[in-house]
Amino acid sequence: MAKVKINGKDFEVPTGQNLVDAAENLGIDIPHYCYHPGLSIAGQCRMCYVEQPGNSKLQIACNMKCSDGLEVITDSPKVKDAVKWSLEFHLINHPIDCPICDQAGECGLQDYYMEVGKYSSEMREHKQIKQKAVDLGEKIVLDKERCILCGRCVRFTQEVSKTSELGIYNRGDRSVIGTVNDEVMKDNYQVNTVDICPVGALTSKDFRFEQRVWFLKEVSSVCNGCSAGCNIDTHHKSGKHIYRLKPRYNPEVNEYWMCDDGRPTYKTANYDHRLTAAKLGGVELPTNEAVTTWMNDLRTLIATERTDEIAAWIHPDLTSEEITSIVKTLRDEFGISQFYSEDADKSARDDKTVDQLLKRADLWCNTQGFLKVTSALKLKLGSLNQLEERLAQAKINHLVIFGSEKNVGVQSLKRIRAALPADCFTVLISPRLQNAELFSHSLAIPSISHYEKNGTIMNWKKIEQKLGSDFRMFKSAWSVEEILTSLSQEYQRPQKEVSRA
Amino acid sequence: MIKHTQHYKNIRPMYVDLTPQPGEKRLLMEHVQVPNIHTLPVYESKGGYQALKKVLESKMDRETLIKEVQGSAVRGRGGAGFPTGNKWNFVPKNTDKPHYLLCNADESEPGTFKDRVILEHLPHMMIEGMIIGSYAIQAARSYVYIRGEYTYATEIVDRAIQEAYKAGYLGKNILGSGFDHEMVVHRGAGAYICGEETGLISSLEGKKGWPKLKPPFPAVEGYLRCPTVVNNVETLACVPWIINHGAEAYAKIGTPKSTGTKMWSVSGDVTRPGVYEVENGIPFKDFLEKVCGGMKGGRKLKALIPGGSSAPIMTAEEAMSCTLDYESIASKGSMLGSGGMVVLDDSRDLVQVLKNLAEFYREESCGQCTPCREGTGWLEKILHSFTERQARREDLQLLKTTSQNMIGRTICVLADSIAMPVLSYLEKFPGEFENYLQGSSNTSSMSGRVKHNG
Repeated sequence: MAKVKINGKDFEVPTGQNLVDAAENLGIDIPHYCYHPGLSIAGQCRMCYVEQPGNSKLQIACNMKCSDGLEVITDSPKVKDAVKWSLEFHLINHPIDCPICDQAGECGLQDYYMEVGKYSSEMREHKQIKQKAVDLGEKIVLDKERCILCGRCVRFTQEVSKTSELGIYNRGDRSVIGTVNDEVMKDNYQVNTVDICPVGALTSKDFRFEQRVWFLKEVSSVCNGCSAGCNIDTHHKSGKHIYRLKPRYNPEVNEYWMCDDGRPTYKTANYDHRLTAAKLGGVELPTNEAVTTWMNDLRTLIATERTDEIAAWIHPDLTSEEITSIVKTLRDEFGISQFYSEDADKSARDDKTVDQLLKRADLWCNTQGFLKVTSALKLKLGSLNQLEERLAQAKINHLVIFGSEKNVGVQSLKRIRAALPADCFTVLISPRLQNAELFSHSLAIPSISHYEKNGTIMNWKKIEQKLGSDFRMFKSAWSVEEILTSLSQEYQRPQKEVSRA
Repeated sequence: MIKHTQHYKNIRPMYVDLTPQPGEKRLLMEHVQVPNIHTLPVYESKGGYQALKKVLESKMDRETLIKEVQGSAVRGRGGAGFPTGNKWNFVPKNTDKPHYLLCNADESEPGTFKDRVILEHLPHMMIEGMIIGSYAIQAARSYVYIRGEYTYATEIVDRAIQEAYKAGYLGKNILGSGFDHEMVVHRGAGAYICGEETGLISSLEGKKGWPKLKPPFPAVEGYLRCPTVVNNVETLACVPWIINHGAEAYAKIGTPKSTGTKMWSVSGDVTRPGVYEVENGIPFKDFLEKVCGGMKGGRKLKALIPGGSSAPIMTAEEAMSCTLDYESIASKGSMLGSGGMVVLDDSRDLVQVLKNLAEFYREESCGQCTPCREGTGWLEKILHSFTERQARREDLQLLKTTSQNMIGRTICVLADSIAMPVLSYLEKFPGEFENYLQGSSNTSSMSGRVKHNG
């Protein structure tokens, strides 16, 4: 720890910590644009001025490491004036097109303008004209006029994704961000540059003009795109629609970043892709009635001691709690013994980094948790081939399918569908509409999507991470635990004898 | 050998009359007029490479060598005037990393062309100085970073280096001392900012010529993150004389704090513009009258830019009462800088001069730091509004505040290089601006120019 003095007060901070970060942790805001804790120090935005006693020249905080005896002042009139003018320099050629800018509401210029800005600009000259709405490929649009040339995006592609696709071209007030020969970006981490862009220069094609950020709420979750388990924030509006995912800092997992393949994983949670109501043979019915219908069939088989004709299909995208709940209810309570699943052992065995960065080969998000829970519960699991075999032998009369919401699970579901005998009672529990369409003749019960879940998943490093959602998109979609609890209650309810239809 | 000039036609040395003028004291330029002094045999016949022999054959202790240069109190001739010996002394003594010496021959400051004379006529003097300097800081490799437009000079320097290799002054085991040294010529691509110490390093590393944050300083972490010394051409050319004649002899010339001689490149309204070497401390008045032949056409001196375009301007009275050394010029609020003297007579319009300078600095700002990137453009636009007679009275204050907020706020001093002149012109020649305000058609704050609130 180092003893430092900021604004006359003594603090103890970790030795070697960057002064901007140290001050932020102490609740002292030092304005900055070019500094980002995940990137190298550029020192070019000239916003983070601090005064040091005995030094008439203002220093920049981002190039200072905390050490014993460091003494700085961040709020002297001299500092404030310098910061005010630095911001003015940022703004004189900025188009100030906030009403039509997608960054409005989360813009560094807007924020600091309110805090430290020079409210009346003296700029009366013609502004620099630069290109607007430059297409950088499939994912990003660049506005060169809004750009404040902090260089974060350039350093990101140089230092983190290591594609060096972005650079600053030309010089002086004609400087612009760009790619070599105006080629499109191929970087699979490029959307991170949108996140770290402090202004509206880089905007994501997926998100731009979709929603004003002040209507969005954030809730922390974990990406389900692969076994990396990148920490993210889900940005949703009133719990009705998810608009984007943004990486959340976790030094042990993903630092500040996530890959572009994980970004669109929220889409399957939105209305268009969702099974919004329970269906029996294509006819909608309330979810509780669907559970009753399911129980009715199940009860007959249990009552006639034909539980060996019941099978369940599970997969490693389910949370550890969901798997536990499935096993506890179906096996321990109802006595179902046949469980089949995707080959989690193989997924874990073949898991490796895809790009030396974050993305992993294993596309299931909870393979490690799945293996841990199933082995703790001593669950005997069959493979997809074995399930197909049993189905072909017509030895299964009742099949419960927990369908993945991701594309990666569809292939297996198609194979199951192909092997399914016409008279087998099938229950599909899934958030995904496409799955329900595949099993259109069956009983389909809507469950909640990954980004609505509360639960635990374990990444490839065996780090357990919580999904902490606090919203539900549809009342009809229940969590797996809720469905099973309801099923269990239904089972315990005294019933009239119902013969199997 | 690379033929740098093969694509250029009619390439020839800079036209400059190098005849010694009364009042000059030539240490470096003593033999500049000797035919073929740029070749090794002629240079050797005039005592060339004796200093290198003195150092290497006696295997002079590096500490002693640095002490000798410190003792001469020679200061960097590139503009900042930092004591050269001290700069060499900052290089860490015990590192595993290789050390580098870079010769800054990227002479691009408007009004400065004295290094060009050394490069074109006395390349061996610079090379000798570089080898001695490299020996002092234990650099196994040095680079001459030469301005891209100096095609003829590049050819001369390159040829001189080849000669030095052949003669055994470069390469392995130089003069049997066990000291190995390589020297490489690197051509710039036409950016003023690459003459800035760390901008030069970035450029040499193959990156965009952006100056680097300090700390770390180049002496600790410079070229390829190794200890590096960057010296000006003239500074390095001083070294052989200091070794040959001793630090004391050098320190006796000039003033106590500005020792030795200085080469001045004089342009503007004088009878004999050119490159001259004079003892530090001679009065400007004498320099103007005796060396430069007085004002052209007998006109009156109006103003003087003493040390390259980035030096604040001096009034005629200030100029006439100052002597040519670091301290005297600094006491008049300007700086000796690179010695690029621009003499302006009473026919000159200083607002036009300043606008011209602002255009240059706007063009050459690297665009890294916001105050410089945006400020240089802003200053140029405001000055443009003056020359277009569109300026308002408030613009005087705006020029001042903008400049004040650029000084000392950036990584390198390019912002200061225009902001300081702007402040000095405003302070010393307010009447010039007043002329434009009197004739200005812009009486309201809005007309003619776009107003942006923000």
